[in-house]
Amino acid sequence: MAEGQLYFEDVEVGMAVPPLHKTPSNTLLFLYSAVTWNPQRIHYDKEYTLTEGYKDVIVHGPLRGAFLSQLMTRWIGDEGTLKKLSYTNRDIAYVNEPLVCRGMVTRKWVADGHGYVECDIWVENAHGTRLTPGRAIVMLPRKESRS
Amino acid sequence: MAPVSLITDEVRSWIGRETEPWTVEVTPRDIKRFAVATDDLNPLYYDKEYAQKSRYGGLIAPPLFYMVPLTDPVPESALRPDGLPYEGKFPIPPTPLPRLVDGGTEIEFFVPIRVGDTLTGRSKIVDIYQKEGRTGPLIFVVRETTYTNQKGEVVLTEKSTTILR
Repeated sequence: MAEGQLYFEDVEVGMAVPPLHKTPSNTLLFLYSAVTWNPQRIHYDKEYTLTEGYKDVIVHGPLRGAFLSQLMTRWIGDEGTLKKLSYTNRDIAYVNEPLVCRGMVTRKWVADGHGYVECDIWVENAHGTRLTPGRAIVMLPRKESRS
Repeated sequence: MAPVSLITDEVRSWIGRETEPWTVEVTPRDIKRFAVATDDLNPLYYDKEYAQKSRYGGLIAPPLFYMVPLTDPVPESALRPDGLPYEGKFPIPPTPLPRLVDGGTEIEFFVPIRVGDTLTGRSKIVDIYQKEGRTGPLIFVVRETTYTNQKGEVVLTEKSTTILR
């Protein structure tokens, strides 16, 4: 058993996923725009972004999705597998805003000898508003995998 | 009064419309760039030796790496004042509703994306429907995107919804 690896038996319904803190900077937004070839100005041009009625440059929705995928992959470790991920960007996040990705176990079950865990996940801002609610299903190794 | 349907025959005819398939070769450089740009520095994504010793036997990509080839480089002259292309890779049917809102993304992962993979993406509109929102009618456009690898394995499927309002 790998040290620090999360196992199916370690997880209970109602358990929190260790939170992941992110404060996306202008630089990170620039890198994300570049790597995804996204020329949309609301992600890097503050002067322009103000003309669209926002108060600053906006964090990309899919970058928040990537943070949520990291929330899960970091928790489940190398032996865990992310099977499903869904999220909706309900509200915007501004550059340099402290964000926290959180999750809560809602269900666990065994199918075909594999252990599955479902979580509610979300990105929240400093006011506790859930900007990006979602769900994830992961497969975890079992301590006793003989079945 | 019953709400007026904005789903005309023309709009409905967009259901089933497919995008030209695209292919992408997955390089370690592109994976590392994505990992850095999403602040997700898992050694499975860039440390070859570490990844070789893992159950994957080599470098893999972060889950949402597949989003990188969803955009094509568009010349500046073909961009609107907001920076978006006049004609995106994934067109939306013409409706009287001017604003686009993200209605959510659902991804199912089947096999990991690996360095050296050649991925083929295919995308089509699978549903268009209308609902009444607080501020008026909303049109939901649902698109399904599938990636396969060079072995013909389905790597992942993505369902994304765009809301027009």
